[in-house]
Amino acid sequence: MRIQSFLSPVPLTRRPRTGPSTRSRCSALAALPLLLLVACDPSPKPDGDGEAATEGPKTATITYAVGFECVNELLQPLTPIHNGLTYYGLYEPLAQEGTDYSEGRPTFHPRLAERWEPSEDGLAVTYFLRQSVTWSDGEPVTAEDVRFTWQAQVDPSVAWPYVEVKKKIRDVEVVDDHTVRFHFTENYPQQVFDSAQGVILPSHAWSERPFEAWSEGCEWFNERPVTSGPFRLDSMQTGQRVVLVKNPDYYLDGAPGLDRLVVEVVPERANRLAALRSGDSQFLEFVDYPDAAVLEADPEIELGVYVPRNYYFVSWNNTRAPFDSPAVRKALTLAIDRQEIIDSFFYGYGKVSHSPLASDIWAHNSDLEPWPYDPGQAKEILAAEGFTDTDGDGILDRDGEPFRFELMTNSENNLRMQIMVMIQSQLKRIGVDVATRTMDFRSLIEPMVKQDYDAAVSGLSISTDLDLSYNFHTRGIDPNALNWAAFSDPETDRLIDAANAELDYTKRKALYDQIQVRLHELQPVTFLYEGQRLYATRRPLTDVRPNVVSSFADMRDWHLADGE
Amino acid sequence: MLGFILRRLATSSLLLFLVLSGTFFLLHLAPGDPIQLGELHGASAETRAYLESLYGLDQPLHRQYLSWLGSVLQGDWGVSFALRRPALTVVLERLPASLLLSVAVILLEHVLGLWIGVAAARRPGGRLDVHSRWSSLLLHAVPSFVVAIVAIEIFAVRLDWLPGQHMTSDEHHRLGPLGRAFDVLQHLILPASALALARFAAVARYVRNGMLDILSQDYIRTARAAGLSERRIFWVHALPNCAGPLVQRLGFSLPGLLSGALILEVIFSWPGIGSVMYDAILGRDYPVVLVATALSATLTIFGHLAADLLYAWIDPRVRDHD
Repeated sequence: MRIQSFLSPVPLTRRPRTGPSTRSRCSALAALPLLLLVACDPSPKPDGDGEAATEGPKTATITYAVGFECVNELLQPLTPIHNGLTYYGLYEPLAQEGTDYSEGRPTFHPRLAERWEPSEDGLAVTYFLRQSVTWSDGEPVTAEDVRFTWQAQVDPSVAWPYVEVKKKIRDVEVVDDHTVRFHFTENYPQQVFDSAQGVILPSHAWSERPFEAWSEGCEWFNERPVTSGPFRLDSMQTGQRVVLVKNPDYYLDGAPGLDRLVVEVVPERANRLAALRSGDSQFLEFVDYPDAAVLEADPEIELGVYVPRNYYFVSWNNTRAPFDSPAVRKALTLAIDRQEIIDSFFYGYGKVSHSPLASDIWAHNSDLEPWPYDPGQAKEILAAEGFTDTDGDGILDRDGEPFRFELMTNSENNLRMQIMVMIQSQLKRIGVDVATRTMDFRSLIEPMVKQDYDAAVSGLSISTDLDLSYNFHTRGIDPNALNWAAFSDPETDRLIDAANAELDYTKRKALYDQIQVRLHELQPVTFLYEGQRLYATRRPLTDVRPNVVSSFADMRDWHLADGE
Repeated sequence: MLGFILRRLATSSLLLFLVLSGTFFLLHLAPGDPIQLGELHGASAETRAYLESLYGLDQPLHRQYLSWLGSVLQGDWGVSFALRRPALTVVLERLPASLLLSVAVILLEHVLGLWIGVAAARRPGGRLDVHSRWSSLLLHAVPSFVVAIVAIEIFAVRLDWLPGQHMTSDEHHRLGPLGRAFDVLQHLILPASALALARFAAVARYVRNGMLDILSQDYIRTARAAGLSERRIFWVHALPNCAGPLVQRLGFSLPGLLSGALILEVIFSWPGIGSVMYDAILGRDYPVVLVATALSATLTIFGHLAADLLYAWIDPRVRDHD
């Protein structure tokens, strides 16, 4: 989905994290997971999950890293904190993005809307809502709710962080109780995506609250838990757990598959792992690579993988010499042994990348090969650029200045720190002297958006509509955007604009291929790797399929396996 | 005495003000701001501008400081940027859990420490004294989070006697008042013991040495000569003299207890202020950080004050001198 913040705003461990649903916290106990693994081998209790399987409500328990400070985060979904439980458990969008993005633009599946159709002129999309859907207080879900939701989303005083996706929506028209029409400012490919983005809110219950008061706090919403999703809120204990129960009036027969879902807040990673292994929980949203082997060996546990729409890179400050030279940037890429990084830290769950678009995205250019590891050629290029070791101290120099720079990354992310140190030692081999520095994420971003840095190891996510303008367009050199490298190339700008506007998919693919060739040649950043995301489920919980949209996108399908 | 209290209150308040002002400026000087892209990636310039004006971040720093000070003096600590709730509520809501844990730890550590310290002092060089010396040194040296992990492993995972996570069970709200108290008590045992185990050793050594010191004093010899029972000498004449320094020590150890508890809160998924504060600092959620700082500074400063007052009350020499 497009609503994704970039990687690891508040990362917990070596695992690269992304997306608002994974806002996590970090403990200062870096050594702890190790200790726990040594100290406790939670041998599976044979009857550990018997409770879940006996007659009675079908209950599943999962662990979650984020503390629910308030029902607000669940009941008023337009706050900066956004979690998948709210989006896919308590509320419903009009339509939900599918995961079939390997072949082309992802299709959308009906949720609150039964179907939708574009207008002849391509400037409107009409949604037809299901007739029988009701809010938890018995009121019907209507077109008015859809219009109200849009008004709330775009109201500046509600300050919905993702309001940008709605900028091309001119108006939302209520045609009748169950028909609603979105009018757009132009004809463009992502109309359904933009209009279906966000969950529908209860107009009859919330419209009396002026929008200016929405950011004042959650207490008001707390008293009006009106939801329409597959689950309802049963109870909540601040900082400890949330209990969801089945919505008995849900429109889809047989859904949700669970009667009760207990979400335990467990801030410490090792405790979440231990809970899964002992049977106290049946789902772990993120599994770190080093933990995969031990989970795989457990017959009760099933390990799953998917490739997130992320890319990881070394950002070179293109405004600062010598990184302003594409040749120097390419030489540095050639000197970084990315296969060694993957062999060292990925346990088989990663591969070298050459593009911001992951290899299972339809627009990925599979004709390109990543630059090889070739320190010899790197040295030749650098020599041609004037870098040689004239004083014999082992460090390349040019005009008497040694090739020395500072490489940064965020301290919450172990994996990135390890990669940073490895890159430091690899570049040392060709005579480039790298000083490393870590700081917390917010401190890191500040110099990066101001181009007041040399280089940084980082990661970013790519939106569903593959809009690369935030990341590589000259427009993206802005504190609000993501072109931290300050890469500016008129040809790339032109290609990105053309790709974003192109309605024909074959032509669009050709444009993306060209963009990737351009990025490959100019190396505004050094693309490092493509890492898989691991998750684990434990019997009897089944049909849990986290994906790039959300870990909870399919939560209404979760159920307990028969015969357990 | 009243003058003493008033003077101390005045200096304590001044100190609190300085600590808070210092924190305010340090926070704002740290790189990164709360509306920095981060979670707001993709937010429009209008949204940012609105948020900045909503939170007053578009003002010059001294103006921000003055308006913050003004609101705080009126009891308004601002709204958490991330949670969109009053910062004071966010922290105070978590305070009871943290206080419960801290009070339980203080009780446990002093009961254990007094008991072992006194027992060791009765027979210096005896078996208990020797063994308690090395074992308490060991427990003191091992960080409490290691004790916590081992305790979880043994009592929650392997033996399954006690809950090792959270403060209440998921059926808590359906229990009666007694059931609820019992539920919380069950959850309290492991975290409180883990922290108290790491801390009682210092109390025990303190009590032991203090007692030995006192027992060698003239008035004790006089008491013995007067034929008082050993038990009476111990509990009525010697131990109370040990209490003063112990109380003062407690005041000084409060900050350590708070920071120790923050780590344990994470390990035991205890819903205290630890994790809220941690997130607030990383997210530059200024109002929450300031409330949390005010809280811990108040506890620390007034902990010292309370300790001094108690000491003065226990020991007339301090009081009269002052």
